[in-house]
Amino acid sequence: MLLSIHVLIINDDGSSLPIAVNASILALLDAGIPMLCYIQSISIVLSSYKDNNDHNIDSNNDDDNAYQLIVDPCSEEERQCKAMFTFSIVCNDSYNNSNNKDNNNKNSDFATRILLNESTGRFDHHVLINAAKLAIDSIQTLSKLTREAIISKLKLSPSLSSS
Amino acid sequence: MRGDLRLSTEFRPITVETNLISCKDGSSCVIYGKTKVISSILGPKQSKISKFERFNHLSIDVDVDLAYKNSMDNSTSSTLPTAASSANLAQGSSNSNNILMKKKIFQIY
Repeated sequence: MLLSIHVLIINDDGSSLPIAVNASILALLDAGIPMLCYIQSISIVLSSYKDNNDHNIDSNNDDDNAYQLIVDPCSEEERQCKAMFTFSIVCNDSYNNSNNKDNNNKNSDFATRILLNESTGRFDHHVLINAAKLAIDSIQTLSKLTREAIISKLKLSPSLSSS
Repeated sequence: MRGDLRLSTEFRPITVETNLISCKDGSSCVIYGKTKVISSILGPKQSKISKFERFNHLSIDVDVDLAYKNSMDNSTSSTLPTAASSANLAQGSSNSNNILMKKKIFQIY
């Protein structure tokens, strides 16, 4: 059996790989192809600039290695960054429900949920771990959007509404 | 604060659509700010080429096209190739040779 996926990038203003992954997953869900899990992808860059007005929990306070992690970069930010990370993360129902539980559960999820990691540039290992944690925290917004899109599509389809 | 006045953990405005192309089995359009990607799925179906046919296996063919001028400044990206490629995709024609920047990027992705 052959499954053909055609991705067309109409315009590229940064982080086109995670958007292509998200679009392909959404198209697979739209086609109704059974999958073990659904994933969402996100791009994070390591920026050198430091802004004191921005209260970011992931920014390091040391002056020697001050850095800031930025979610969803545009092409200008991709060009100026020190390093760039792309994560694909499994977003099943069980992970969304277990989000309110204790932190031990969250740490055990951490390693098992990452399906893809593509990193370019120079960075320390703790930057990579912080980026992965930030990716898992911010993936909730994207998975909620995908869920809403599929639910609204199922409501519109005539075969389901008649039954 | 960033150049486009976003917070560091804030996304660009996101638009998500499904069911765009009727002749494909599944299709979606995802727009993050100025980045726009259309993805479409055909199959799973019987392959005409025998090397893709193996018992209990699914062959996946991924094709990535760029439909914009690959210049460093995004201000020169015209709407003409975009419109042409969208029309091509809507017709479902596989030979999209009149897209200006048709480029296979298997080796990158």
